[in-house]
Amino acid sequence: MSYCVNCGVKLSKSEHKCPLCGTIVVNPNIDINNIEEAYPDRIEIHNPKINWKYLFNLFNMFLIVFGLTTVLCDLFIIGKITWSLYVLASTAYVGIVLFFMFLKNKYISLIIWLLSTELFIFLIAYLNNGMSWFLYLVMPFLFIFGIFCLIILWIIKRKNKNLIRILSFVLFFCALSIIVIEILIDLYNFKTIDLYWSIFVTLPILLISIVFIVISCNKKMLEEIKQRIFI
Amino acid sequence: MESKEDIIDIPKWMRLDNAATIYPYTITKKYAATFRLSITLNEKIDVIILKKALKKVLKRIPSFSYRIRKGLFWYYLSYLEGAPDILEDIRNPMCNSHFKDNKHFMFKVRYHGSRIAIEIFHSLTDGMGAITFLLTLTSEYLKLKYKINIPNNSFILNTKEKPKKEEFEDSFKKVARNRGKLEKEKPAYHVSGIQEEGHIVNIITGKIPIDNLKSVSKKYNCTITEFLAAIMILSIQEIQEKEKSKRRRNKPIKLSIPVNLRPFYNSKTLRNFSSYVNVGIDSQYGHYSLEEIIIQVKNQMGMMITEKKLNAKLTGNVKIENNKLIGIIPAFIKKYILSIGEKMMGDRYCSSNLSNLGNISLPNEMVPYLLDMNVMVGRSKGKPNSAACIGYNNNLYISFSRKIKEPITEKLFFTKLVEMNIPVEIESNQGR
Ligand SMILES: [Zn+2]
Repeated sequence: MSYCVNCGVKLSKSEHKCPLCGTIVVNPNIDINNIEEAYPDRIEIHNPKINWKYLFNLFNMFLIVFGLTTVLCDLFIIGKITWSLYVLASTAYVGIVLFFMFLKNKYISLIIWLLSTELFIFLIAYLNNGMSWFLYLVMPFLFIFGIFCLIILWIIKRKNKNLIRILSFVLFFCALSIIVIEILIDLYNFKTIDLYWSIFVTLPILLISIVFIVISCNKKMLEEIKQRIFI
Repeated sequence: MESKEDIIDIPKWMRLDNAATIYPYTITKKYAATFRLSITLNEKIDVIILKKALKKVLKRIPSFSYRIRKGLFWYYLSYLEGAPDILEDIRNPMCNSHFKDNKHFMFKVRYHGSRIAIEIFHSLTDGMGAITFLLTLTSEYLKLKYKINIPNNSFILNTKEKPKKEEFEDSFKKVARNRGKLEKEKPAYHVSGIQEEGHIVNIITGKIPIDNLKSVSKKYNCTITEFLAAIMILSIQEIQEKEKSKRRRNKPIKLSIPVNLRPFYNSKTLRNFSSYVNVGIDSQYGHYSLEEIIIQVKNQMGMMITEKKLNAKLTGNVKIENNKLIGIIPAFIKKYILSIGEKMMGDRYCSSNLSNLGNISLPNEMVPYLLDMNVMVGRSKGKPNSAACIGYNNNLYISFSRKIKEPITEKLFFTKLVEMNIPVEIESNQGR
């Protein structure tokens, strides 16, 4: 039997240190390796397991059955494939996006999402004689949006986060995108570039962005702001 | 001996008893109101025999074979066939509240070395129901293993008999009268500390000779429960006096002490039938000495633990359950409302709790096989810690379970006893 020299309580054989004060028990007469612990080492933690793979496979099966049924209906009723092409394209699109969504490398899933969306809308545009609308407006818009998402992802994944610099960068990119969007709309509508509204939007954004960059480079100022606005 | 009217046909489903009603609504991913009882035998546990004994005991005490289910308006109990598996013990008892992992049974049977423990969700029964179950299980185990004869008593049921109606009854509804009263209370002081992760509970058990406790409480002219409660309040007061914030220093220190209602109404139910009283000191009026605290605790308990006061409280609670307006609120909304209510009612109004299951006397045939007993309460939702004790074979086993890292209350509590020349032997789950 050992006693805690600090608290004066007797300690059970299984205690190697006093649970009340943390003092280590030194008793040369007791071989600590031979004594059974009062409680086993195992800690039970409940982790609910959702079988994502199973759910995903089930969903894919459903999509395939769904797509095939529509094609069959179309063939039987009209005699050729017409509207079922849209259903088929959308189910394929959803399937592909879902399949690549769970990849470890999120950049690749994002790029695949971007490409498949482009392809999907291209198909719809092609079937409806909307190629110029697709080529001049939708495709570039989507690309700008995709690049924006990639940049956000890259920022999120970075370890060293300088919030103000990130913000300035995002703002700068927004300004740039707005100008590109007006150029694209002008080209589509009037075949000339005549920048007007985007300048009013871009200028203040650019100004704020520059202010942020200056602040983020000035460590002292950054500290000053931090201590005033901390939550 | 047994008349036909006493025997019950096991119902396929039943309402929860009045005290049990609240608990299902308070379950979260990490919390369920659970407590644990254990006994240590003088030999390693034989799991196969224990399993046999468990099946036998479940036939005698079928009120344990129920699972909790959600109805449209209320949770209810529905009968389960079979028996749960016997599980190995773990370091963090009572922390996994997922009944699904346990074939939906609301109690677990665990073993470790020569110890048998049962962990019970509070909707099933209270301490008295649980001790009856554990001791009947132990006696059945001993009978099977050593072929001995053990006489029955109030804790050890005869497994050859059929389950009785009175063991199934919701005594709250039976004894409730017309007028009820629920007292308003002030929020109590909570010892602060660093919270452990959700699946960790720190347990410290102290083994104290009852003779020493008896003589010291005789000196202070109080019962052992009153004495232990006073020492706990004294320890918490010492911590509170060091608080920097005046608001926290002025909060009252209160202990919630469960009261077994069976003796008042001669009830034999194996479901819940207990109440509780909150006793303590109002710290804003200055420092209290041990003698003063004992007087406070003693008088408050004397005043509150009377049949009339206890009945007023339980009638108030039964009235809430019987309120049709509350009744028609769908269960999922009730869960939301009641869990907020519980957060504001239960743990907020006591600093800690102290359950005393009393001194358990066993038939002489059983005593040589049983080395010790223990009882503990699971991690609380709001309180930093809670304590529970049980007496057996001239020792009192008091277990603190806490969810904060620092054993401050425990250290003060046990060292105070040591200073009064009461020997304490400590055991914990905090390992090497
Ligand atoms: Zn110590």
